[in-house]
Amino acid sequence: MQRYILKRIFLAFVTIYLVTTLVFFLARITGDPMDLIMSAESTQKDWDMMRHQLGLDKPIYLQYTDFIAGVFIGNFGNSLRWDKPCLSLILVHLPATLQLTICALLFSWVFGISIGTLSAMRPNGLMDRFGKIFAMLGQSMPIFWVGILLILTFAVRWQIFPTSGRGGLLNLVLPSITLGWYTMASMTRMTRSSMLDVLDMEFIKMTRIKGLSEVLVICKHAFKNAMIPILTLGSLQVGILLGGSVITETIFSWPGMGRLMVQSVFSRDFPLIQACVIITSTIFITINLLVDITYGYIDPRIRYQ
Amino acid sequence: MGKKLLEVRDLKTHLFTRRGVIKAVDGVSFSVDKNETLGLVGESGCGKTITCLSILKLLPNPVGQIVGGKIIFDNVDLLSKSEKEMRKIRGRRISMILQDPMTSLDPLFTIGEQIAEPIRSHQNLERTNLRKKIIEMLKLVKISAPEARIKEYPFQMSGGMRQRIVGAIALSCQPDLLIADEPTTALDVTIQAQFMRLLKEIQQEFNMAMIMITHDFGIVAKVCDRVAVMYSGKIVESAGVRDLFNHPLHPYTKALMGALPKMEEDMEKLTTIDGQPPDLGHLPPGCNFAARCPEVKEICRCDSPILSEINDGHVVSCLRVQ
Amino acid sequence: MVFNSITQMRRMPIFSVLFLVIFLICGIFGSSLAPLDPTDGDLSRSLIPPFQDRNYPLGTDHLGRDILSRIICGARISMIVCIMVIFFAGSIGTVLALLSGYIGGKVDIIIMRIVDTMLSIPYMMIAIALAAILRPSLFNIIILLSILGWTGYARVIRGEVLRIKDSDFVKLAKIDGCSKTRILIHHIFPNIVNTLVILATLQVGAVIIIESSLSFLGLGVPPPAPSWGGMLADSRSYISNWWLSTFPGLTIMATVLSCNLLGEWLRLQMDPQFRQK
Ligand SMILES: Nc1ncnc2c1ncn2[C@@H]1O[C@H](COP(=O)(O)OP(=O)(O)OP(=O)(O)O)[C@@H](O)[C@H]1O
Ligand SMILES: [Mg+2]
Repeated sequence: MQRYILKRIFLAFVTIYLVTTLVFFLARITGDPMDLIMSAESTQKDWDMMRHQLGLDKPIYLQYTDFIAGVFIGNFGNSLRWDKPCLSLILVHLPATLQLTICALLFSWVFGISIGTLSAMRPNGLMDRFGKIFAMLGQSMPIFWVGILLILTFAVRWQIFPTSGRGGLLNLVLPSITLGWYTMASMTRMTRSSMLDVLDMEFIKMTRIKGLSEVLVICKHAFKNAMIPILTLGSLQVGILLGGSVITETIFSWPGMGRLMVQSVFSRDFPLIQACVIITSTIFITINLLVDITYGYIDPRIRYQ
Repeated sequence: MGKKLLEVRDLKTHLFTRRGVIKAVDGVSFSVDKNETLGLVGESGCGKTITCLSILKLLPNPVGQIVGGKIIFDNVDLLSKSEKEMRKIRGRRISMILQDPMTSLDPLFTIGEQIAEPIRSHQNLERTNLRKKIIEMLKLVKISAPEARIKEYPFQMSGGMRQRIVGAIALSCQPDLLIADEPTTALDVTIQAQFMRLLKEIQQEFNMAMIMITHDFGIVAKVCDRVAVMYSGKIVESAGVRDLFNHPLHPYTKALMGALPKMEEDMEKLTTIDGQPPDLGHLPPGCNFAARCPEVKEICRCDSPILSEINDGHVVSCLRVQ
Repeated sequence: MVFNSITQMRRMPIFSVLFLVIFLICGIFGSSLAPLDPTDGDLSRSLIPPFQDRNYPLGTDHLGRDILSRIICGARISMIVCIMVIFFAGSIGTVLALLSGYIGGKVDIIIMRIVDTMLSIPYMMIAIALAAILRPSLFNIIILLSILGWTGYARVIRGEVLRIKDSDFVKLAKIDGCSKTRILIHHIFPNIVNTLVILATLQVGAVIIIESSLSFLGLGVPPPAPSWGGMLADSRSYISNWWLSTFPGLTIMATVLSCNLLGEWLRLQMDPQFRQK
């Protein structure tokens, strides 16, 4: 198990390093960052100054090593707009995003897993039909429309929840549902299909032959076995949620990292964009690492490898 | 004859699949006495497993449904019991070993935990006693070093060991009736023999009745007291082991026995039964075996035979014999 | 594509196919089908609710533009983006997957590392970052989504290639002395076409959602060209005028839903393992 964990941790670091490299090169292959930063009116002198300030006048390999070394010690350079270190700016905005993402994840897991499980227990039953339609619709609605619809009904028409901003628990409801909507739909489908697969297996029949109660059969045996594909999807969903938070935060004026990123895009804050991408990826990779380790705890076959 | 423990009367179990209704069990009757071993023999797909799952009321959900008949166990009809009452019977009074030992164990739980489960849900034992009981069960099925094995997982065991552990689970509450569904087809010959001997020993120790599903007449000869031969959802012949081996009456039984390989004979002499068993979704009129029967008569194709007693304890369902 | 029987054809999601055909027609003939000019605004007739004025069946937006016409013309951008992205992403993904799966070794390791790395960056994040660098335009959106979209193909198809590579008929072809290229083109490629079709159909939905999300954030195809995501973005300032958001939203949903249903059906048809369930 220890070797397994160490190996995963090592791989996670490699991936973070590769992501950093990829971001560095994608940003430079697809265009000149200077084009993004400078407006049309700026003079040649402005260009040279900015180029020098950002170190973009150095040879590419030096830029690269500087960049990697910087990221390694948490130095992403200064934000052009706020003139502060990117990292501290992001750290200020991160808690709001994490709060939103975790709430959305909880929302989508609780509903997705329970609807999926109930559907699988009675295939073609009422719950299953309802769940199927629900999941199909959920996977086809873009989250910004979900957000607008929710605001339209619950904030504008009925005025139960506030339309925007961060504050009490009430503020959290609509953004969480918006963000978790899509992932809940896919979680429902995944839970249903992997539960169905497991319930078909001989060892489930065996647990019933033993005379165990249905609760034990479903919650202990079937669920634990269905957990691995569910967790795999769950860790992928974290990526979707982190990406989706950009849109959700924009709709609900949620003061998190997603909105910071959109603002930095419009204020052409190149270092900050880079930092946002790398840090969200790092969070994503860390979650994947945790999920990989959880696999080991669930499945002895992985643990004893 | 001992006292009747289980009596199945005209059991009908149908599977309502998307492709139509499959009459997997179509009017099956048999009985098992206390301490007796009944062999249930028949080709693949003839409905043996479904028959036994019907007894436990654990049919594939929602496809399988018992549509008629009676299952009388210890003088009560199981079909009138609720799911909750059935749960008290499963594992404690009637237990079953499934066909495939490789997939019958949950890969994510330790052996010890899986043996503990039925004991925990049927008996009140404190932890140390529970542990003792588990070790005792492992010893019973001849697993070496049981104290260490308790903490191991199914994937660390060989097929033969898994089969014995499944046995230990099924036997853990000393059931009155054990159903063993082809418990050895997945194993090699020497382990087969070992496991059969083990089951037989335990049966004697526990005073347990058994239903042994198999298609191996060699096993039938060794362990069974009585045999029921099943064909396409029906019992076609049933008799004591000696009786059946000496005077098989139904052509299907004869053919099955002919298909049994004997070591000393040439492989060329091995006879096979021509043709395929009928599709249980679309049964033709008349005797189900008519199309493949070497001794078929005109009447067999239109009239259905009924099970009738020829001599003491020997019943057969064949128009030609009656 | 072999359909085993008429009954399976019959279960085809008829409405999805119909809707997609309408989508394609709107995409191709958009501006001539639309009753009014989608960019022609008139503030004197702004924010007319739907089903009231016969000239504006779905109402008008804040600039007085006809919503129905904008939705019809907006199909063009979504359609062009979808077709081009599927073409580029599918080609890049397939070629790399064939190389990766068939040659194996270092090539495989490098390609799969790149795929894994791309997949460990949240999709939307990298899309936004690239959109920022590339500057919004139709061409750049296509490039961006293609850069992002090939990884899905590469992963799935590589798996298929590995499976087919081990199959008997490829081994036989090798014994017969077929060259590597010949085996790739004549034996392996035909066997991945099914998978490719399924992946492509399922990708349409994803592309439409991402494209409209970028438009929503103001990073998509720039206005005044009508795009569904852009219409939703505009509607935010007039949120109580429900029709501004509802109709484009419904359109996006119906299109994505149709593609998903069709893709699902195709998968059922082509994947025999899946069909048995
Ligand atoms: N879950 C199911 N859904 C549909 N049909 C089934 C199902 N389980 C069994 N059947 C059908 O029911 C019939 C009887 O099956 P059963 O498993 O009882 O056969 P069996 O006698 O145990 O065969 P074997 O010796 O191969 O185990 C078969 O025709 C089979 O196709
Ligand atoms: Mg069977």
